[in-house]
Amino acid sequence: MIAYLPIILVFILYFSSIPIAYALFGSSLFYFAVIDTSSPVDLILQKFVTSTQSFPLLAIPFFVMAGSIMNYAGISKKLMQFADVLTGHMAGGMAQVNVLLSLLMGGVSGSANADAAMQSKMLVPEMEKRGYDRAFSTAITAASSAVTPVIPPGINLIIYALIANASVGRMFAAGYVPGLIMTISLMVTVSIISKRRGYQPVRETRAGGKEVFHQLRESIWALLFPFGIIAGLRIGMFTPSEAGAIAVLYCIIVGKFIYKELGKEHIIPVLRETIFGTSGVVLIIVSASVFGYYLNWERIPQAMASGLLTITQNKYLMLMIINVLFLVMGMFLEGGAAMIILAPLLVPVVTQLGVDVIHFGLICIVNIMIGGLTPPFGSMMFTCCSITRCSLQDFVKEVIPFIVALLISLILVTYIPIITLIVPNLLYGVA
Amino acid sequence: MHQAVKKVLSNFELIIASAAIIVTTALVMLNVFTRYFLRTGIYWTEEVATACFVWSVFIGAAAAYKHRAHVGVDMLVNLCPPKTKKAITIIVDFVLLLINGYITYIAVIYISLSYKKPTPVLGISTAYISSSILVSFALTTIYSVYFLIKDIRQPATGGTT
Repeated sequence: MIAYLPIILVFILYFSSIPIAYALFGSSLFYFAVIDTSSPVDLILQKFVTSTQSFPLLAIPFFVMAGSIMNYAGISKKLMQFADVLTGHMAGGMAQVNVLLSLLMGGVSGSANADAAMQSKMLVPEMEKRGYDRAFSTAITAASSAVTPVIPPGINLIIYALIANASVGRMFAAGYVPGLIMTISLMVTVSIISKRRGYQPVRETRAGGKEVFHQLRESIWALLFPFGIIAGLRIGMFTPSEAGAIAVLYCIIVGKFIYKELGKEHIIPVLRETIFGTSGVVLIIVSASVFGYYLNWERIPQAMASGLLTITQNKYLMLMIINVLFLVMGMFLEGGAAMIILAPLLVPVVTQLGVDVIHFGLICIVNIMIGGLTPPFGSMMFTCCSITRCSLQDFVKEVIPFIVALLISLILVTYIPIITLIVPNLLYGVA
Repeated sequence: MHQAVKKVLSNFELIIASAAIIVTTALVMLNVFTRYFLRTGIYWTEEVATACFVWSVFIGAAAAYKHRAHVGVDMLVNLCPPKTKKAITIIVDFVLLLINGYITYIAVIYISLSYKKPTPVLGISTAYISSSILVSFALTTIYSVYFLIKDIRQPATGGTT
């Protein structure tokens, strides 16, 4: 039993307000300093070194930086106008624009929280002015931001590929269809609610072809971005981390010379966002690797795997159990952290049952995004509510239909593998 | 002038981390360009870029620690009455001090054992890279002491925010 003490300790530390990385450090160090001192301490530090000194990890700061630059380059305004000509005429026009904008933003920024924050500031006040309920506007902003990280180049897609030893290119390609399904299910939900409540379209008629084409041309540089990355990876022009560096260069050029909005004053905020965004995630990866050293020392992953496999050998039942596990973890932990801790433990189990590694990655990511919307600790929920000053109770009431929509998408992604695998299989051939 | 010095000092981790990440980005870009246009890669870029990245991550983590930017869940603690809340805060500060101090300690041991090992490409001491961990956690240890003292001095407040 004492072997499991560090796991309990993680929970105690975490719920007494210690950040998850430090909770993992603390409990693994407690194990090696107090419970089992037979492992030399410098081997633990070795984990700090080996888990960070990896070239593929460089993709994380690069794509964080690229997304941040695109944001300051005024791309979100351009994409919003594009979303507006496409969906403004539908019932609940502004809300539809909100959903579609998250999908489009997904192609440049890989972080749900960044998207949630940006849209809370940009769209929610505008929606309220047009008669939308504040809680509804906040809920749809938070819910739609769940789509952003599923679309390439989402940071979580990269992190999962690194953890699970999967191809980053395949992971990127796999995100499209699940992201589209989530978008469609949210838009249908918006449409149903808007018709019932009489939320009006933004424009009276569908935008004409000319106007659509004009807006398409305005935002084409951002829309092409993810396709360029995937094409470059596919033909082996560059590695994922190199793709990230090229992406940074691309965004600087587009922001500076085409949109002409990027200036010297943006250098410091971009760097600050890059440093904080990256070091936070990487520190969690390091701490999870130190914690994994303890888990492996006690052979807990093996025990857990055989435990899970004695419950069921059925692939579909297992995925259901894992989904529930992830949803519960996602309620309490920031999504990225839940994936970084759980994925290494679960990937061997599901691959043994014949689940594709890429498919499982998308299940994990869609899942943890839903966790970001639920109380008590959903991160997108907090981001949006704190910006729009919406009370959590009102938010929860309004977000439930959207969570249901996303859960339906999750079930589709889980049980119809072709949704995830069709694009990577077309691009790379069947694995 | 005085103001500027203060600003630099209070943000020095961010400045170091930013410089490191700029070097990382520039080197990786450079390598792609030389590979395509000069048909030859620069053999040491990958190692130096990774080393700069490691420095940027760990020094950046120290910066985030100083600005208390690492997210923790304080919802349960906030539900406690003011006195309990203050007690928990102080215990948490103390635990964090222990964790950071201990990592600093094992970093010293690790570096003293491994500094002779050369890096694979350039053959310089690995201590040039691993000392980033030591510097980072030495800094966070200092900040932990500072937060501990600050929180002890602060009167018990709040409760149900």
